[in-house]
Amino acid sequence: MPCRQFEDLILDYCEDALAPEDRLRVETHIAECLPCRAFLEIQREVEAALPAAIGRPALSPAFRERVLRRIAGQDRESRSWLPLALDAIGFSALAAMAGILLPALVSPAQLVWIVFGACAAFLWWTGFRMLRENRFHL
Amino acid sequence: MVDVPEFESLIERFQGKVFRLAYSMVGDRAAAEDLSQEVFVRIWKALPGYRGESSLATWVFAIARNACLSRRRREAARRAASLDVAAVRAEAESLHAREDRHPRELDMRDLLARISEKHRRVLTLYYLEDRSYEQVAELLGLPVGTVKTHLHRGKKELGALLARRPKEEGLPCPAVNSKT
Repeated sequence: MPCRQFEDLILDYCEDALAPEDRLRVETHIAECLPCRAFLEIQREVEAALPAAIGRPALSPAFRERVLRRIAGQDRESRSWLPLALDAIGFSALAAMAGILLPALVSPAQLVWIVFGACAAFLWWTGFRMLRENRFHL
Repeated sequence: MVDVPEFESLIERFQGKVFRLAYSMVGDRAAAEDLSQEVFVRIWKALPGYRGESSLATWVFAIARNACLSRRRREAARRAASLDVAAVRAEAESLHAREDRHPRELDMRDLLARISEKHRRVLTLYYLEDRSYEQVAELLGLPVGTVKTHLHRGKKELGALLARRPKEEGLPCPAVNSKT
């Protein structure tokens, strides 16, 4: 086991990252401490082998084009009006059913309020979706 | 709204760092590149909400880290879901075979795969970022002191694994012994 107070200094020594006075301290110590000398040798081996083991992976030259293609694809998908059209059809179907059933159950004044409420709910829902999908480009 | 040429220059500026961050987290070039693409798609979607409260680099790297962590969680869940008896047996046999291998046969790549994940991530990034503690700290969102601590612990772990190799000197040569 190396001396605890010298472990980090030896690691920095391996990387040549010590000030001259600390460098001298480490050299004086390892000259007379066998475990620290063994630790230094092993760490030098680690230091020498690590760069090759990690390598230098590089991005392919087409990376930027691929990202832009992915974004264009997502944009087309998210800017489709189909979901909104389907929402509109759904709300219309509900409104038609309500139009058939409600006149028998509520007064004309109440019916006006219900129609007004349904329109407001549709507009709110559509606006909320468009805002969430950033179609207004705020 | 950011336009495409502006976004292209953002890609140009950050693609290397985002890729290296992804590589340090997934350890595979192709997977890291795919993950980096996903990161930039996320950035594109989130850009309208960027208010400049943190620096652009800090914001981009935070998105990249989150994307890497989500991908790893998804992969782990997928692996757990697809585990069957045969796969477990194959994995166990492979591990057993690795343990049976003479430690001398293990190269640094094998050793790197054995150390703790957070130490490996810091070590990998440190060498990819040309030994800059500051760059690693910025990419991982950690204080410089923590980066240095992880780096030293990772190296000590590797050293301990390397030290466990039996010494070659003094070993009897089986070929010579069998002749005599």
